[in-house]
Amino acid sequence: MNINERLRDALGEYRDQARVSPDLFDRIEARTQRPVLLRRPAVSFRTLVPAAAALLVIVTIAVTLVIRTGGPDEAQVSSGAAGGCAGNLYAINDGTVSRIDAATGAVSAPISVDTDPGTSPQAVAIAPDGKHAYVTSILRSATDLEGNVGDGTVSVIATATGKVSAPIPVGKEPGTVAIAPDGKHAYVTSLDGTSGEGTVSAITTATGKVSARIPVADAPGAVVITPDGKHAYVSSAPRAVGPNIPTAGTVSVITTATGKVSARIPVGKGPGDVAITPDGELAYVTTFDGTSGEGAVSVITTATGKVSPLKAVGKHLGGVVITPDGEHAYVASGDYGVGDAEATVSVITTATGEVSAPITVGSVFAPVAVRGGSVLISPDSEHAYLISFDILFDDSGPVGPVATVLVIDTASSAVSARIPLGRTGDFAPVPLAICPARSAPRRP
Amino acid sequence: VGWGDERLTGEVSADVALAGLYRSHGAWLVGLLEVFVGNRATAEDLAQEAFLRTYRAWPRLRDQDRAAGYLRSTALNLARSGFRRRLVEMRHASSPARDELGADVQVVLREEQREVIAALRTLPARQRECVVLRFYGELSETEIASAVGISVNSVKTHMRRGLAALEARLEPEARLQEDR
Repeated sequence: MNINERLRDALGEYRDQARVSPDLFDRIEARTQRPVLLRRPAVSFRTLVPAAAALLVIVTIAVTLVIRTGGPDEAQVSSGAAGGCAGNLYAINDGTVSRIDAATGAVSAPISVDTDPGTSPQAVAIAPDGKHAYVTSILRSATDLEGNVGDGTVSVIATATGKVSAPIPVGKEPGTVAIAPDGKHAYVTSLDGTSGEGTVSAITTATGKVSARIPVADAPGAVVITPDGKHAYVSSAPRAVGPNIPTAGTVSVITTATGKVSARIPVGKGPGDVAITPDGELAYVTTFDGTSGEGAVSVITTATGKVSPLKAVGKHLGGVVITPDGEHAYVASGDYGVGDAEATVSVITTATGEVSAPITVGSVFAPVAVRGGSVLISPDSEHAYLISFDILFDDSGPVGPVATVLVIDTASSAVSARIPLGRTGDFAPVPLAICPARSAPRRP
Repeated sequence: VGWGDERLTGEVSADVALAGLYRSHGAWLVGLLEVFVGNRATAEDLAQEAFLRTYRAWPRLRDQDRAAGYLRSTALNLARSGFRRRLVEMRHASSPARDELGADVQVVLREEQREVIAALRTLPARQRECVVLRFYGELSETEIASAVGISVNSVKTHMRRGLAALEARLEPEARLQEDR
């Protein structure tokens, strides 16, 4: 047999033996109506009120980043020399990393973080000095056909040259990464073991070695470091009964000097992203109730660990980010029924806790509004950045989804630019990170 | 026009479309996904998600052929990355129920077929997708281009490279003779 015949034979075997569980259609049909457990008994949707539009509560892998910005005396933006970091965003899309010039919308050629074709980048963060971008990846090649958890790595991109370091092995299925304000350590969340045990790996950036592995609560998502570098806040959103129904979540507080968890703070269901005010006093955590889809923000007073009453914000919250002046928190959310959806941003005034009405910034194809997760603020506070998705068509049929960076003018809340990134490798998150204003490190 | 309002549009409603698409593509899609992910339980989870997303996209698709294209491309995307991590998270929570399903069935292969699948595993993702869609899916180059999200010319390139790599791995002797 030649190679074509052998392929037809082996793959034909899959086709010949293809069977589906008898209840698969019932499971799909049940999920078209409302949030259900993955294995819920089937409900015929014709018996349900059609107006009860389906809300698929999705698992948000919130992408978190710490934006370091200078005070007023340091606010001048570096001249944006070729290859410099300032003024750029980094995005992960379709298995590669792209650098986006936020002013011109120019998107760089894709940067592959690893020669291994099974590498799947998950999150990106930029060091406070702007010299390096840290990218977490899951390696699929070894485990691709078994569907097992994948080994994780962190690759470091030199922002000036685009050169990528040899990948640093971390735990399984890494999530997000954050870099300490002094740039000496990077912290990476991962899911180890078979039951989702959470781990945070601390990497010493100078050596590229993992210097500590810190157990945290199961299913960790976001990690952020306080501005003084003394603590890391890690959200964990274990799911009790299915992918869409988060149970009570926690934020683990790590004392970075000792590498020990000093507190576990209950914050409500399904915590996603975390952002800390520039003065380090408050931590904002997005949460969502998987049953109702309602989103809320928990505010932790970092000194006491006390959690303020949850503020209802919108549906299906994604990322949260705090403006450099600490006055506002921006929360990304997506509300969707069966058809199209709206991507919205809500603005919280941190001093009063007042929440603005959600500002619609885009019409987004169904369940992806918050998959992108992140919302970013430019160092000068003039722009916010958010991902939206669209389905496009050409002669051959649907093309897409296509991810677009929405540039939002914070003063007017209007979308001032749309930067298309091209087709996504999923309706998957398109994690973003933003370069700090200055390329020189800031010493506190 | 309201969702599924056939009286006004004369079009097929989303639930009718879903049922039709499931009948024509359900087992086919699970089998295809099993090639990529290696077990039926994961393949079914991904297929479930792909059908659900196609259902949601129906207001924009409004056509069975377009929906089939959208379904293939969504399924491939889901198998590729991103969503897999969330599947792992689901797994932690839902394993007891999973065992009752008996969905951990796997395709039974002969030794020489296993060799082919093992060789496929070593290909870069795009090459693997092109080859599998052609020999499992029997799709045209245009359909493969749409499903993988690349141009027809790229499909040709990936296909040629993928087949050459497989041949080098599986049929080194045939290859040598050709070279002579």
